[in-house]
Amino acid sequence: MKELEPANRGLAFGNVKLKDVNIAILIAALVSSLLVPLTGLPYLRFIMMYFFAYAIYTASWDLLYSYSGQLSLGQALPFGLGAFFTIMFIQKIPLIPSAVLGTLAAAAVGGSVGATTIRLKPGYQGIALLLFSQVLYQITLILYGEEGLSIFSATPLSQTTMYISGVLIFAVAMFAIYLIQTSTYRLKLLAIKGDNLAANVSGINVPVHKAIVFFLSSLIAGIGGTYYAIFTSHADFTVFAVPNSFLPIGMAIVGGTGFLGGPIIGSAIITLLIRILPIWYSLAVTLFVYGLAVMAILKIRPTGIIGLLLRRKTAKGGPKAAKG
Amino acid sequence: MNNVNTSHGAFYMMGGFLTFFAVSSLHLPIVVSIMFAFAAAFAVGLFFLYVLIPRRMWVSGDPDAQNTVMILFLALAQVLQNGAFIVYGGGSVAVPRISFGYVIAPGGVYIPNQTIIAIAISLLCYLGLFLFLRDTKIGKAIRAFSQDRELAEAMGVRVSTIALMSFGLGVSLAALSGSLLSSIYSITAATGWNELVIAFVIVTFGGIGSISGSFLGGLVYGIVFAITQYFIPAYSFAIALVLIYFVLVNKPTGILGEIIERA
Repeated sequence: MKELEPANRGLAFGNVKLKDVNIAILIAALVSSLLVPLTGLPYLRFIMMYFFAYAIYTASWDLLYSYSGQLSLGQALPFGLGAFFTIMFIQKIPLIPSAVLGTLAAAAVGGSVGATTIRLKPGYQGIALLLFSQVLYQITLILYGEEGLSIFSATPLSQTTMYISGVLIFAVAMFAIYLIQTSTYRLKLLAIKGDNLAANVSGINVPVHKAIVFFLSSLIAGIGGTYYAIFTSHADFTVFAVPNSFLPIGMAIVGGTGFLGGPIIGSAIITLLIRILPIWYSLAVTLFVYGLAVMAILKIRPTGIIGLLLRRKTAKGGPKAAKG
Repeated sequence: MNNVNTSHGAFYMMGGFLTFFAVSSLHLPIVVSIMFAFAAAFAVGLFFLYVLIPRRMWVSGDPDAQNTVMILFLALAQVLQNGAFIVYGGGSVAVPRISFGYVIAPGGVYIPNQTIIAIAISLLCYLGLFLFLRDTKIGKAIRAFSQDRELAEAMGVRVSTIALMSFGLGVSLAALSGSLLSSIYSITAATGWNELVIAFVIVTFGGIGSISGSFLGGLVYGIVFAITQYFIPAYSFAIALVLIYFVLVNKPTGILGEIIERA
């Protein structure tokens, strides 16, 4: 039994309990997103908006990693493209078409770039994607300077509208990922992940499906980036920076890879960490702690927090615990 | 080792800061400081390998293990960079040059002495690495190991020795280039990522596992970069990388190696 990715394995073998846990986490996230405005704490509401964007972003990285075995070290590419395209379109056309077009453009560009890397070995593929995010980091820095692009609107969206749309986008994106991760299509992806050659021999067109999952992942990351740009009304070169590419990786590792629940838990914890710790300490200290936390979790408990939850659940179940 | 070290850029940055630390806090001469950075980086690299990476993943062909190692190193890079940021702040640090002044080459080209020294040291390192891998016992073991792991193990090659030596040397060389270049270019806590992708392009272009390939790849990158810098200076970094990358996509084996996986 492999130590890594138990969530993934459980799903592949139709483990109903695993689905239950993940759906419970999704519902808990949605309920708490509805409860947060009742607390009357504006900063917490603001953090929740970051959480929506980051959870979508993390789930998009995890889709790529856990379902096709492709490690992207440059997931900031589609995320940042979504943010930049949306802000660029908003200068010319209304908000909603801009958001849709921005997301689609991010999916198209991110997916195309990703598709060029699918023949490389996993490690090299990851760095090839990092290369493109670094290239865009430089280009956006030169084109738009350190201040980046901002939305200047005479009638800005109210915080309430922004929050409600965040909840809706979060729910829709997570449901879309849920559909992908429970469809029979995932079996093809898991086969590719398990063994490229064997999948090829069994008639799966490996490069095509690897590219498809790249487009899907870029689309979802683009949704996250678009929402991020809209609620912060801003996009600058730092969205393409490596710490931003590391963000979803660390979040997925902390929460646990393999299904919706991990990215949701991970992004909730890390968003709280990186939004609350800087109140007392600097951002560098926060990111330092974040890096340490990811190293510690990956070393001590590679299954993440969801692994702990599942372990407890199977322990109650009796004999499974002894085997697991 | 079959692994991609994603914190290589951070070790490059660390080399610059170690040199700065030796010069400013230990008050060592610059040449000794560079040696200090080289040796300290070796020790630091081995320390992180021991503490951070599970032993069974030191050398592993399993994609899951490789991915885990990459993520661990990425997290380490984040920790190192923010650690440097906490200690030295966000500004660039000034590492003194070994030699000031310049040489005027034919055609009226000014070449700073520091650049010549950096070129000489990198040539020496290349030659040293080449001879080390070709002639020494450990070098031969490393090559044997990369060609056929099981057979090499059967012949008595120890996995841990190989991993420690190759990782330590890699980190030391990254730190050495950091300490040499930190006096030519500025170095900040955020430095390192561009260097990582440049190293990636050069190494894969030359062919993974081929020292001569890296040499050739470095030369090609340098020439392409210089040409684009002449015509389109602002985007030279981006254009040079993307150009070489697309050559690489069409010939994924690199010039002298094999990196493609059957897909």
